[in-house]
Amino acid sequence: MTEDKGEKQTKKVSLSSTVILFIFLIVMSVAFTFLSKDFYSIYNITSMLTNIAFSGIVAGTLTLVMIMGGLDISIGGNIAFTSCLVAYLFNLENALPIAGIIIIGLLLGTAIGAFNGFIITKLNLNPIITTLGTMAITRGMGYVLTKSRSILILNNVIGFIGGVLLGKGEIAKFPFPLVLFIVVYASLAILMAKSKFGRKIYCIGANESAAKLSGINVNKVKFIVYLISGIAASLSGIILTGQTAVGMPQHGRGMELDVITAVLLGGTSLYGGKGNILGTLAGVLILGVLYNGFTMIGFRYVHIRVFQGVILILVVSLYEVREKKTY
Amino acid sequence: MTDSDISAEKEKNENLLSKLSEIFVYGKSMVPALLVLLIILVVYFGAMTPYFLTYTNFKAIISNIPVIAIMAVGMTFVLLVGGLDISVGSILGFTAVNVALFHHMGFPAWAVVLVSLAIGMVFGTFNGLIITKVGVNPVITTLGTMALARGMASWFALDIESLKLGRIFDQKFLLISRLYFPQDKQIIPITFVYVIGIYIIVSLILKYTKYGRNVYAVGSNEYAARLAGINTTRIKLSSYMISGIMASIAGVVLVAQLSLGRDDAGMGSELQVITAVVLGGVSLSGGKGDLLGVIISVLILGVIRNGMVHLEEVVGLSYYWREVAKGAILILAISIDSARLMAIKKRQVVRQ
Amino acid sequence: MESHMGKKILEMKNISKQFPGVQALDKVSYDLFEGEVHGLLGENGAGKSTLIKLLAGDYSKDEGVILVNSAEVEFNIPADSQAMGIRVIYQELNTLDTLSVAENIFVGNLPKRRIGTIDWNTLNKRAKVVLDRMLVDTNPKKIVGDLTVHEKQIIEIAKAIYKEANILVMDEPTAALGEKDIKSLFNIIRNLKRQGVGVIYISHRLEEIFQITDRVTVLRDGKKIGTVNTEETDRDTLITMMVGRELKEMYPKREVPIGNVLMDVKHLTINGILEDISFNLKSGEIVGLFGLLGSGRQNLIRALYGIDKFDCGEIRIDGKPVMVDTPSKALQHKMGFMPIDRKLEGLALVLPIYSNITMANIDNLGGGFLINKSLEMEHSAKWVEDVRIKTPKLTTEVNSLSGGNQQKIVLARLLETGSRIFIMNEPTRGIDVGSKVDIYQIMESLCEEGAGVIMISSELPEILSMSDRIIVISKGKVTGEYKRGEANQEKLIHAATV
Repeated sequence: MTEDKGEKQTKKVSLSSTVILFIFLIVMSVAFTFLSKDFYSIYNITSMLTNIAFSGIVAGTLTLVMIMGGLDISIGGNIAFTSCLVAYLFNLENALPIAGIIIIGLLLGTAIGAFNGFIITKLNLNPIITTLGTMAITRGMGYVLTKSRSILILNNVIGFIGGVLLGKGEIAKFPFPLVLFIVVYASLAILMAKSKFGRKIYCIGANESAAKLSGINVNKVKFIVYLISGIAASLSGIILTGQTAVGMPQHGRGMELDVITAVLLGGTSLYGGKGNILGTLAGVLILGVLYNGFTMIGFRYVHIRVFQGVILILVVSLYEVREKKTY
Repeated sequence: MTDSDISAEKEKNENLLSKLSEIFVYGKSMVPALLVLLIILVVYFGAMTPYFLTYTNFKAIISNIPVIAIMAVGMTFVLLVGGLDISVGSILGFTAVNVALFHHMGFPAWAVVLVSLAIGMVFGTFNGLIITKVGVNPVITTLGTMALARGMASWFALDIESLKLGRIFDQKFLLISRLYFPQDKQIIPITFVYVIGIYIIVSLILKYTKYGRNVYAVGSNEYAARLAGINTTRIKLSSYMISGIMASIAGVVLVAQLSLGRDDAGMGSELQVITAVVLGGVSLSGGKGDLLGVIISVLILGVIRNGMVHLEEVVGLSYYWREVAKGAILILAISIDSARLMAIKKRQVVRQ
Repeated sequence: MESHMGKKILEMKNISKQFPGVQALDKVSYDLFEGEVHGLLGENGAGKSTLIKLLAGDYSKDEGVILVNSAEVEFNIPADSQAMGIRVIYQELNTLDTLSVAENIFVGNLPKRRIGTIDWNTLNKRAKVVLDRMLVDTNPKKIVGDLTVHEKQIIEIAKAIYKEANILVMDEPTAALGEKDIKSLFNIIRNLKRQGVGVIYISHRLEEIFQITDRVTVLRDGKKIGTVNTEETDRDTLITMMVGRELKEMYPKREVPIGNVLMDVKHLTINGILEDISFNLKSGEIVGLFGLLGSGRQNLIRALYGIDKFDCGEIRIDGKPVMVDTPSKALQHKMGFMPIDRKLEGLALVLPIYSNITMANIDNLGGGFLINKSLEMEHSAKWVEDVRIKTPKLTTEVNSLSGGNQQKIVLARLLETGSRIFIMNEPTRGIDVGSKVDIYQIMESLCEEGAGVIMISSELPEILSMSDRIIVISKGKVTGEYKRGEANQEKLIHAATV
């Protein structure tokens, strides 16, 4: 009666799944190298990784949100609005210095994140529908600002530093977005695995009532996490604007699907309390390589969109079945 | 006035305020509040522009409503059982493309309609099975289906070159949305009849059939419903099926209205549908709400949409604020829903 | 065993059921004759609820056979069980809060007109009849969400009774009822007996067993200990069967000297819920809090721990008035809270043991931004040993522990925060006897170190044996206070139903 059946070792289980993911990643990459002659080139790999960086950064912070038991679908709209704002400010008559514009962009992300955080914690509303609404609001603001027209950023105005800040430059031969990606992931990994704040996120996601009774300030933690998500999205939007040299309200459309899939693929549970940054990294890389590889083979964007939907449902079904089996 | 007079006045005003909010916000039905809101909006827009309160404009509003109204019926079922379906817009889009496709292949109108219904049924069933049998979260499932359906819509639209514009020429088909009563005077569009008909029939089903009451039971307390012998899996599955079919019906109606079947049809409509349903009093938590509030909500959203177009001409307010308004109204709607739920919790005697 | 005049309408043979980490039922046999009230007795966690859920078709059995009227049956879903005429009244309320009283009573079975549509008129009329029979005045059209806990329980009972039941199962039906309502409930049961209905009556209230049952079966730790005719047995025999050892062996000696006042509650009031509650807790003392469902005990301790607000009153700790309005403040004042439902409110089931233990003390695990892992493991290991959990690895997910060990983890968390004032809400609910004894001994040693414990318990033997003082709460007021030795079961129940 007092026996503990099949003691589940938390560390072992999650590590082994992540390892499997990375093995899958390697196998897949090798496969694509053979399937397409364009895949394994410096140019493709760099541009693929740079693309991965945009959604990857957001996937990292979304992992925090989802481990906490919430969701943030507004990231796409955030990217759109930030992108339009930055481009708009850039093209003003007496334009502010680049650094100023970027700070304003990040402040916008902070505001959006704060809005989400406030509504979800103080009004106690469903995060999914709330962020759905925020997505509409932010993307709508993007349309209002640009009157639905794209805003181009002229290259010759940007100096070297500006280029770097906006994502076009390189640091020690690595594209800036990629460097940022690595920095962000390293920081998030430490945050979640080793910090007190990260531990609180896990506790809230695993059992919010228990966390409350244990004296954790749940509302404060939730608010900060949504704030972080908002900042990351706007950061990604700024870099995307710099890379594509255009600010338009269509940026980031459909990105929430990608990002959520990557996080779930990486082993984060929809029920909260389980997941890690390394897993999300694997998920982001796998999806990035997958889509890039498919494109190299000859699939078009619309085909990939279909795959995205299928993969999400497949991934989440498999994990659901696996969780059910153990209990 | 003495102090006690002042405080008595204050108390009277506070009581009035709380009484008003009792009736309009926290009452059993949202309908009174919605009617008041509708009247206020009509008066406002009527005051802002003379073109608002015209017969032509009225017809314009009415003709824009059926698509959302029909999808709202399906979404009501899903919300009543405590779920959510964000794939409806994409199912509509995929249906629209297929209408164009099958029309191009020479199918008669009735066959096209049948195929469309089948599409809605398939997607709805797929959603329902993943959610009930596999047990995946409804939002994530329908997020996946949304991408899947929209992707397939674009894919099909791509492969048929001449259909890039997807024009429909079959008159019989177009009549689905273009019939009027009486035909010459063009007073009542047939789409209006569809909406009224569907709403009345479904309201009767929800109130007077065993199936309808079981839907409410499952949404109210799924465990208790199961214990009472209700097949909760079947009820939930059916609600997603209905949602899918309604989305495809709406797709048929839309294409017939526009005589155009494009892959971006219905994009973003899931937001409006959810807003309409929640604003109409159908609670996100399930088991509560009815179609009367929903139809008024749909009208309200239609009036706002139409009004904002006028506002652009009159006041210069950019039409694009409509997108922002959509999101804001959604958040407003769920705030009201949440407030109502909280009020009920507070009213329950909670001595434990 | 004497045979009864009627036939055997139910037989459950060698039923076994296992959940992760616990053998809930181990070859349990149970039968029922028509017109009989057969009691099912046992402590919390003995297996009563599991047996009933199996009978109701809510769970499926691992082994064993169920026979209804001598024919073997398989219950896969609740509808199967109901088709055989089995109706269950659960202790937890399973009401459909957004629907009306009438619809709740007849859910799944609403009356129809000839053309197949719901006949609302007949529904409401029939509901009125049922409610009248139960002597309640509720309007059948009222939405159940607006009713009190008491009224909801009546609805649950009505739900089961109105349908033609051959076998009626009642799981702790009197938890929320006062003396008068219990009397009327027993009248209804006697009526059903006369009609040939067999009643399975589950309770751990001995006085009720003696009042209403013909036979009684005792379960303990998932096993059937025995079945006796009610007339031929007595309280002590039943208690020994339930507990498995002489009462004296179960509970520790309780010889701790009582010191100064730790916490002083004065005139605590929550409008409409609690009225003028005053009591104190001294160092080394265990104060038992007893009351029925709906008495206000839960509200009281939630107010003390800062979960709920109160309108008037004062709390003093060590003589100084304090303002405890959040759990965080409560923890600062060295209060520790053990919730009533460890799975729902107490434990993060998917997290490892060490995470759960340190959950309330994260900020103190080392100086800065990061957690000092070795410190965390050190602390966790110490507490795991102190609460006598025999698990080798701290990284084990709490989900795979037994109920007893899980409860001990919650306790370990309180120890990690250095609590001196322990608020324990049904501390031994749903755990095995061995773990119960462990927890009692831990409580004793905490008292020896000067801590004070406020314990809510609905297990009369437990609260009578462990408490230095018992405070009884009824309808939001203190209705009795007894020192050790002054109280007995009858006095407590009487005070709780005043």
